[in-house]
Amino acid sequence: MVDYAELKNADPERLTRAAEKAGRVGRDLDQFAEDVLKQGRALGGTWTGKDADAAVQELTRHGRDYTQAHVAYLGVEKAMGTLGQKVTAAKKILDAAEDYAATVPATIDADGRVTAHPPPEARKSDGWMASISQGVKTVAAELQRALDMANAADTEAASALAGLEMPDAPDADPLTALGTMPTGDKATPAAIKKWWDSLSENERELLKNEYPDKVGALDGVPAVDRDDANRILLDERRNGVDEQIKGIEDELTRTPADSPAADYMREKLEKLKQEKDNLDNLRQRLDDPNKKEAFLLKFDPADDGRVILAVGNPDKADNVLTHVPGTGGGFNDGFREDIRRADIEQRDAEAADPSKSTSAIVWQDYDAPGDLLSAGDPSYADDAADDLRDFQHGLRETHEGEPSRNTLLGHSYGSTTVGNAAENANLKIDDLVLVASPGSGQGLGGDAGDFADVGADKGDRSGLTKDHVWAARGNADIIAPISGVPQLGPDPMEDGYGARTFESGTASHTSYWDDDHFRRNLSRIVTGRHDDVQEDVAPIDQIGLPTN
Amino acid sequence: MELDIPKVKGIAAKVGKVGDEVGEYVARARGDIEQAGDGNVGFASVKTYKDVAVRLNEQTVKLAERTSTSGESIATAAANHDYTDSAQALKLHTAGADMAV
Repeated sequence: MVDYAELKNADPERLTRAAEKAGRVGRDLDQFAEDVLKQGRALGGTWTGKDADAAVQELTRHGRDYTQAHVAYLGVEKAMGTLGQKVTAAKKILDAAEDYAATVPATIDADGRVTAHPPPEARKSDGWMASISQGVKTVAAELQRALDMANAADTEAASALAGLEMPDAPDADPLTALGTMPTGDKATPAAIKKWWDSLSENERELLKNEYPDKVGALDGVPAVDRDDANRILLDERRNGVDEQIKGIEDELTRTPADSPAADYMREKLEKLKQEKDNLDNLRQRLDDPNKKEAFLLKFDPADDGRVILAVGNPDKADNVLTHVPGTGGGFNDGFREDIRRADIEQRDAEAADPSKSTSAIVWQDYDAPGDLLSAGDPSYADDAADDLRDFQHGLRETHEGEPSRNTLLGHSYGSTTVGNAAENANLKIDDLVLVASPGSGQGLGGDAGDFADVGADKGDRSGLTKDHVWAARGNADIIAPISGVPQLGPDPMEDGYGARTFESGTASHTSYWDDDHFRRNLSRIVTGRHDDVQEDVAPIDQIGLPTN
Repeated sequence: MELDIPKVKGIAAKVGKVGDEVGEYVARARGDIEQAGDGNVGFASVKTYKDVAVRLNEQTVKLAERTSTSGESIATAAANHDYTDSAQALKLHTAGADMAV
């Protein structure tokens, strides 16, 4: 048991330093774990047979052991860090009690005994003596409170440290953990969150390292964990593309330059280099220390590529904006610009309300129409609806603390996608923003008031009333004449639709994020400053189009 | 069985390097970590902390040594296959020469 003198002489800074040092080693070991697992995966691609299998298994075991060591060191960090904080707090109580004792007046001896020292005149006053006696009791009680706090913290830390799994413990089996994951209809974001929480720290680390493709895109897994897994997938893809580039360059040196084969290879090389450039750009953004921390919530390079990137941690932010891009899309077609827009949205919102944190997410997780010709097809929006719903529900599940203010924005065909999703399920959002919309994704008779009752039949009414449905279109946006085509639903800018339209200046179809009016108003919607939004009163027929 | 010997040797070298680096890194960090909680007499958790830190360090060093050994084993396996293939090629070559005679 810690006594008075020991607490008085305790040095909590050293405890905190111990925590920091253990944490640093733990984080570096995580990198070593990744390095070993990476070599194991690479080995599998260059050597087959019984010996190769044994070698890969051995390296996988090493990776798991390093992960176990990483988790153990982080456990030490947590236990000692908490101890340091609590001992600091206990010492503050002790110091305050000592200061108070001097005013009683009373002294505290080396064993923590409190003795009153009433001045001679106090002995003549019962009231004064009673007050001194009460003061002594208060000092003693405060000393005891400080000691209780320190001892409880000590016991808690000792128990946490003794319970840590050492790297020589039997390996946790990530496959067994994966086997307990809810699947099919049961894999709701709430069920995934519950499952993730039920795993040990060790199992979670192993799953991220060994099965990043299985957990990286799971709605209900916290953003930091998804980010860990998806960064592994991103780096694997970068290495894979690098190898393909080198292979083709080698092959080209052995191929006659004017042959059809060489033409084919050069074309393929060009595409790979472009992809590599995009992958490097994404990695640079993730690693950029001068920008708001970014989290990779999905990375799937198949086909056009599906990526979800959050600028700022959505699990901790007060405001969360999800931005769904439109036509084109795909990782290799414009995602660089999407990142820029998310950065702008995040910065603008925090500038609009510096007292609140904001996370801006680009949700490029659907097969968007590749070009304007296919943009009249509503099936792209239909196909995206369930995934977008699950993503929004996942944000609610993993969010920490008070619920965040969540806004869903769709740009161009993305507005059709978000409108469609919001008409089919309660997305648990606070605001819906349709920008440069070719149609709201609802049936033609639909309007902004229809979203409020969505989910009512299941006892899960969205409550997204029309004063939380926003629409914007810049004066130079060429979408105006085609908005409201029957396949994509009503034009949300029409008076009869009932959305709150807001000022977007002279933005063209692709320049909203360079328009001050649009940016200022969007940031106010995202941060809940609705009364400050400049609503757009321009009648629809005044929307400017090139006249010559 | 397929084996890209230069690549496997490269991987073996990288694995060995990871083991060596972890070993050096953890050994360097040992003193710092073990002494970090000093100056807190009476706290049972500080004693537990020291025990855990020593044990963790020892286990991690052993793990690093095993990784270095694995790297060497993979390199040896690749070299053996290389040697077997060369010997096999030599045999075939000799057999071919005999037949030509």
